[in-house]
Amino acid sequence: MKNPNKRTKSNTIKRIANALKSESGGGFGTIFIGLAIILLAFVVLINIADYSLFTYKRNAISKAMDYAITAAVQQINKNQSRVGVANGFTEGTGETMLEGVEIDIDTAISTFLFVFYANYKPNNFSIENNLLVCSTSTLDGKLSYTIKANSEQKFDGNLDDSALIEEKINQAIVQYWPNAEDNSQVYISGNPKTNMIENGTYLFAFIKDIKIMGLYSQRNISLSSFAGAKLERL
Amino acid sequence: MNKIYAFIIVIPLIAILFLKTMSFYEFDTKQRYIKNTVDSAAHKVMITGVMTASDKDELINKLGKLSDFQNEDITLKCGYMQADGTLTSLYSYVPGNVLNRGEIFSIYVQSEDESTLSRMEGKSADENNKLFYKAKAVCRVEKPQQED
Repeated sequence: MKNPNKRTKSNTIKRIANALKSESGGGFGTIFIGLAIILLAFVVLINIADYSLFTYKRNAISKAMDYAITAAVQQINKNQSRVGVANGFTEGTGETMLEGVEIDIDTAISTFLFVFYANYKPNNFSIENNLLVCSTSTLDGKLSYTIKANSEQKFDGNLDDSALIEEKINQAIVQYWPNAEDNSQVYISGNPKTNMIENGTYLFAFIKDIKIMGLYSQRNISLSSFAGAKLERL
Repeated sequence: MNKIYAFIIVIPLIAILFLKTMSFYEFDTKQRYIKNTVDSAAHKVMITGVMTASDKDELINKLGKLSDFQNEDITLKCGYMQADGTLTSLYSYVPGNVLNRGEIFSIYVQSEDESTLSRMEGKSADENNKLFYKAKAVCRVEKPQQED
């Protein structure tokens, strides 16, 4: 003889199976499947909205950086720079020179922050502690650079080749943020011919590891922007 | 009979979800396009230092394809940057004025009507909760200027 308990169980399963199959019922099955599809669609929608919010904010930040860097690169320190007709031309050939035009890094940072926040300033968002700025200028064929972040000490020096600036920036990143979670690096020298920073007056800004909130998830990214001073002499 | 319940519950939920998705997608896409349009206009001023009346008409025309924008919905401002990198105040910009290198230029646009998403969310009772299409761009003119 079969176990009566077993029979009851198999009967229950049969009854459920019949109920699902039966022509008269089946409504609950439709509801469950329908609700499952709705749930799935809802999860997909929320995820899309989350990512879309993130990309919108990221694009706004990157655009704000673009405006900020072109504003900041104009903060030229005329006291430190070689200005005037006497310094504007080479003595031998009379060619115009754009050497020795220095960017004032402190006012450049404040200009950068001002224009950045004018473009993008939601609540509880700041980049002061994540911003690194590097300015370069040429003097007697050498590239002199100044790197500053966090209103801490500056790193400065001279380089023979502008391709070496990438290494200096990356060293500075490690020194400014020794305990950073991500080890994002700056790659601006693909090879010496495609180097972004040439011998000249340039400003480079890097925002390390900013947190951007989507709808519910938070993503960390690092962004950089770069501008030349667009100088001319009469 | 049970199938009728299924229709009563499932179909309206799917419809609500679908409409919400559509309105969100519409808002997101239009908002991105409006920001891009404003950025392009600001870039032109950044490079040339001037926004002509025809440039402004073109901007209104482009924005008008996305939502309702009138002439007064577009706020143009400009101002001088201090030597220390701060700005004291912005005054209104008249189209056609030529800005010098180093001046600040700002565009702010806000649509006449609230978005479909905002109307669907039913927050229209309170003015502050309305969701308009807005975009802002603040730039500094960097056209080359000859100095000694």
